[in-house]
Amino acid sequence: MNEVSRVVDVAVIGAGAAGLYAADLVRRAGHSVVVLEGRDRVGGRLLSVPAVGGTLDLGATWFWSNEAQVNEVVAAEGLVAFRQYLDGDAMFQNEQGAQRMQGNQVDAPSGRLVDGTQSITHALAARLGDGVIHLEAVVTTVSEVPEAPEVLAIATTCGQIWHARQLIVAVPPATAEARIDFGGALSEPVRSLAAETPVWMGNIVKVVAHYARPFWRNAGLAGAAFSYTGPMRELHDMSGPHGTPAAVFGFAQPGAATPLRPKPRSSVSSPRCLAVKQRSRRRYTSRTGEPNR
Amino acid sequence: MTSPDNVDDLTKYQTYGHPLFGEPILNGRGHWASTETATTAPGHIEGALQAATRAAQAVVVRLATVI
Repeated sequence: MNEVSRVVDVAVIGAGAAGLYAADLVRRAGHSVVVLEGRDRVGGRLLSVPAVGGTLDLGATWFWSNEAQVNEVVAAEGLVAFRQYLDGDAMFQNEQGAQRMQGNQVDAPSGRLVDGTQSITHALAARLGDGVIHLEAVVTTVSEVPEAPEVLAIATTCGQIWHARQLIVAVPPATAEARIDFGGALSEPVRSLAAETPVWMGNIVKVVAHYARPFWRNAGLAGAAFSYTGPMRELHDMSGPHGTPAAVFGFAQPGAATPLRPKPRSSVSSPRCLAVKQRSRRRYTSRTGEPNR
Repeated sequence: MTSPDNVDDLTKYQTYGHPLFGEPILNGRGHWASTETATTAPGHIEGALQAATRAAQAVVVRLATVI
C-alpha cells in the first residue's frame, strides 16, 4: 500500500476561481485546507497565454463594473484593468454577405485585465502559499470512513487519501456527478440536478486570432460582428491595451471550428496564429473530455 | 461526446443557481462552489467568487458547530 492518508479541515476539489477563492476564505478563518486540481495548472476556465506584446485570454475574457467581488480581488491584488474596445462600427453577416453597421451594438462596456483573467487565479493561488494546491490530483472517490464518521475520505489518482471534515466541490456539478464516485451518497434530486446542469461554455469553442496589428481599428471598425452563417456567431476585439497584442475572438459550436485555418485574403490580414480552445474536449471541465492541460 | 451532450442544453440554464445548490450535500459535509451554482452572475468569474463565498461561509459555520 502506497496510500498516504492526510487529515485536513477542508478539502476543495478544483483550483479554478471558485476553488481558490473558497480555499482562501477558509484559510483566513483559521482552518487547514487542501486544493485538489486535476490539471497541471491552476485557473480552470481562466487561461491566459503569453503573446508578442502581452497576454491573450483563451478562457474567460471579461468582467463587469457591477461585479463587486471580482472588482474587489482585482483592486486588492493590484491587477491592472482596462476597458473593452468599443469604438467604431460592428459588422453583420448573413446569406447575402457581410455588411457594415452604424455603431457597435455587439459589444457592451466591460473590463479586461492586462495580464489576462488567469492573473486572478494566479494571485489567489499565491495567497494560499506552498503545499496547499496539489496539481494533477484527480479526485476519483469521495466516501464515508466507518472508523472516523467525522470525516470524508477523498481519494486522488496521486494515491493520496485525504480525510477532510468538510468538502467544497468547486468543479461544475455535472463534471463532479459524472467523474467522481460518491458511492451513492449524492442523493436525489441533487444528483439529477447536477447531471442536468450545463457546464458554462462547456459546449462552446473559443477561437482567438492574433494579428500583427489591429488593422480594423484604422478602418473605423470595432472588431465586433455577429453572423447568421457562422462558423462563429459573434466576434469581438480582444486586443490588449492600445491594441497590443492585436486579437479578435469568436465563439463557435464544437465541430464548426475544428477545421478552421487562417484563410489569407488580399483584403484581410492573415493572423499570426489561431488558437482554438474547445472546452467540450477538456477532461476536467467536461464530463467526458480527453486528457488535457 | 461533449458536455453538455447536445446543443439544446446550451440554453438550458434555468438550473443555474438552483436553490438546491445552496444546500449542503453528503450529510452536511459537502458544499457546491462552481460558477454554475451561483445565484448572481452564474457563468461569470463573479459567479465563481459568489458561489465560493457561500460555500466557504457554510463550511466555517459547520466547523464551528459540528464536532
